[in-house]
Amino acid sequence: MIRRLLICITMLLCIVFSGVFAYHLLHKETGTIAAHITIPLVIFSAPDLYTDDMVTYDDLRGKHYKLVNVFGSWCVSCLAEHALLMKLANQYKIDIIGINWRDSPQKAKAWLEKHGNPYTKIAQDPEGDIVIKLGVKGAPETFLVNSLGELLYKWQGPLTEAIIEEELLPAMSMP
Amino acid sequence: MRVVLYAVIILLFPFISAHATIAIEAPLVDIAQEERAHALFKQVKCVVCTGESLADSQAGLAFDMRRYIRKQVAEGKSNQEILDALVVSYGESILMTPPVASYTYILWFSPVLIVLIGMILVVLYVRYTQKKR
Repeated sequence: MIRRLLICITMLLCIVFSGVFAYHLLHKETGTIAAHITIPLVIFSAPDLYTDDMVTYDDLRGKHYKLVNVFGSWCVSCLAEHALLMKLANQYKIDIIGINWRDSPQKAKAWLEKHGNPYTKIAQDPEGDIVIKLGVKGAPETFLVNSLGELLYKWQGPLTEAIIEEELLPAMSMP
Repeated sequence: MRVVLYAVIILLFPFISAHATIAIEAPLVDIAQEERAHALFKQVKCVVCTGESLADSQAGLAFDMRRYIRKQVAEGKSNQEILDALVVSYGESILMTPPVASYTYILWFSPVLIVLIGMILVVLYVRYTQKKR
């Protein structure tokens, strides 16, 4: 009797665990790399790549949604998404604030001259101070910022046509 | 003789590489502050590695984070302030030790529960076999 009970309990536990694992395996997000986050306004201030101005957290706030994009001239995947950033800036007129991570101004400028500059402002972040405050794991990483300067979504890795059309633009049109 | 020479050279390797790390990373001048920073490195995960703390990681981002934490320590921020700020940016998974909260009860207390279940099963089994005799 008890032996049967033991077998039943063991079987039941196996089934429950398998169910839990199966559920989480099957519901793993695939295809997209977007994460809904809420990082409150990040306080920073860094020199602009091109002007003597400081780029600060005030530049994240404004009437419209903005994007923050972490890039570096050393970053190969950044080049992969660069044409899409150019399109977002030119065609959709979206403000993109660049964070130039672990780069030298000369290299960054040369890179932007060669491939085009989609950024309205570029904060220099040679030591990764801003990047760490934003919770970045690697370049490229793109954030959607609301009018209060809060980070709402992030996309790790290069943006794709599909991410922009299916996630980024719809998220930006939300009130 | 040659063997001894090779052995000495090989034994010196760790010191060479340790020296290189120190040369890249400028430790804080204040020894107490540097020790505090090191204690923090052990509490923070390297976010691009698996199961490594900042203290052990050689990843590029880990270098940046160690420098960042040293700066914060030098600025006079408390340990809790520094850790809290990192949790805001990276989430609680950045801490080496997960906090005890309602959503981590399973993590913290399931071992106890499993031991308890095991003990109950053992007692039941022993009783069962004694009855049988």
